[in-house]
Amino acid sequence: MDKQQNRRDFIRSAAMASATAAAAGSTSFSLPKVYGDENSAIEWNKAPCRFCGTGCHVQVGVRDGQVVAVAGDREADVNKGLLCVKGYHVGAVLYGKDRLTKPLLRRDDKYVEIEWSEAIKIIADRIEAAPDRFGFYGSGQWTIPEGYAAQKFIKGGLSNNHIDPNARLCMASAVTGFLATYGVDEPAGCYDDLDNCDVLIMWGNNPAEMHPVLFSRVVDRRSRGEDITLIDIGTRKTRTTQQCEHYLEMKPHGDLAVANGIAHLLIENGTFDKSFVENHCNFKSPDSENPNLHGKAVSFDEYKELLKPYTPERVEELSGVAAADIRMLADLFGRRDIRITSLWCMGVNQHTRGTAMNCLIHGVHLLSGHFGRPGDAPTSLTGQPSACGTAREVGTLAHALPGGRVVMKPEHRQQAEMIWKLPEGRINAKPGYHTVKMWEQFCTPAEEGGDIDTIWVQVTNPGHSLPNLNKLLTPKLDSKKNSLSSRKSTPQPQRN
Amino acid sequence: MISGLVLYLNRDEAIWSETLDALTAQAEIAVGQRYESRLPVVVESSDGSNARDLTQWILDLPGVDHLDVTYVDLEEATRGENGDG
Repeated sequence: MDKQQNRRDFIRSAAMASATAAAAGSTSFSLPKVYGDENSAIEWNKAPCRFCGTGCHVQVGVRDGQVVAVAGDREADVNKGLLCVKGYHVGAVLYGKDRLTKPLLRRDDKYVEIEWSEAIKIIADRIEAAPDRFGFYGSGQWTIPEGYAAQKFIKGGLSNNHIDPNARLCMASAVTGFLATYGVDEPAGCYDDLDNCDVLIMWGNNPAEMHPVLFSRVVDRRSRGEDITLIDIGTRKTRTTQQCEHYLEMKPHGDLAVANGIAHLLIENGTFDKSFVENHCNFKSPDSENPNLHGKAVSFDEYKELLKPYTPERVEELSGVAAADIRMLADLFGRRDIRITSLWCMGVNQHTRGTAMNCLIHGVHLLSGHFGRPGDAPTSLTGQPSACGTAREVGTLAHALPGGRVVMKPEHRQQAEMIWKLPEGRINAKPGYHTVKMWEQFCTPAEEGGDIDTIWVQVTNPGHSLPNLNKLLTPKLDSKKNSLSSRKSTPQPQRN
Repeated sequence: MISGLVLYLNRDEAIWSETLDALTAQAEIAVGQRYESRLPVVVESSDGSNARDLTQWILDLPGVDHLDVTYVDLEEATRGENGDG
């Protein structure tokens, strides 16, 4: 047997051992340090997968400066040794033919390679020339250390608060829903609810393809013979639908009527959780005269009256979901002997009534008392692994400081200045520009009030993900093609 | 690329044998010992694109509910800048 064949046999054995350990639920598998009789060792280190919101821990094997293997981290509670099909590409993505290996600078209509020293000097000169006209645009794919460094640099170093992530776009409705409902910006549920629920309702959500490792928890429970009912409420069939007992196809935005229809029947049938509601809930309605985050306080009877139009038949007209299915959902929420978890992500968050829909899902869970126990939770998923950690906890937002602090509060600024060993008063009290405003200002000519000259984009691609590119990005690229601040000329990590 | 995968098979055991036959007939796939409905397999592919095709083919087999990845060796695929990132 030649050396190459021996090596392949060894890799096959390692791959089978890892898969077998995962299938058997065993912890006996150890990552190989060498393949067969090779001399050069593989060094394994942990890294995050940034491809979705799950936040899988990945073990990355490096030999001679090159990534040679990846594996799910068996020590991680989030993914328990598993990766999804995207795991194929976590390592290989470093070696794509189109991956940049040097900083590029746009000169006229061409990109030219420059050295890192030159790139850093250009950036530093631009920032130094006008530190208040500089901004960071990042994402929920920033790791916590990366985001923390950017945050400290701009708020602690430049006294400038123009830093915001793309999480501003994807999670604003979810965050507003949390704040309006609970007063704090945190999800009520967690991944472990997937291990404990009897019913899983996915609202415009496709975890089989978008958060596959989370969905495998549910599939795995079934494979072990557990009884769990899956319900897909959506506008199109997906791979998730194939696993569901119920697929309720709705018209776009029909989910609001569905949620109101469930709430209506819970009250009509007297199956809402009276004790939970009495002890823990207040009722609000939209305040049309004075639109605000928290709405207008109303009594239970007034709330009941507001829901009266949402009969199953009327909801069927509004949503396209059959009245019988609305009754089925209400019957499930009306039961005290089962646990219900709701999952949703961008399907809810990014439709034009996303904030209202977030509030309604929380509301249905609170009204029915399916809340606050393992498996009983409204669980909002994120699209990126650190939209909570880096964007919200680290505070890489235009108004925020680490640990839930905000720049507008003097005591919060003082605490941050003390921790960062800054002179008193260094942190600016005025919030910076949020994402849309930052890009608007970037695209507005200086003579018309534009006051952002340079944006350093990190770990995101606003050229794809910003809304209304014709307003927020294209004008700048057309008018100032040699700007280092354009996304294409942002320095890129160099291949090792 | 050589990869370790876990397949989650449908509860309907009647269709397992057909699926297992289809898997074992593929030269690029080695099938391990099944644990309840979880089946470890090893897949050999020439590159990332071929890996995607193979995993899609597996997912489309009757009785395969889901698939997870546990291990990927990509040394041969990325040496010499053959990655498809």
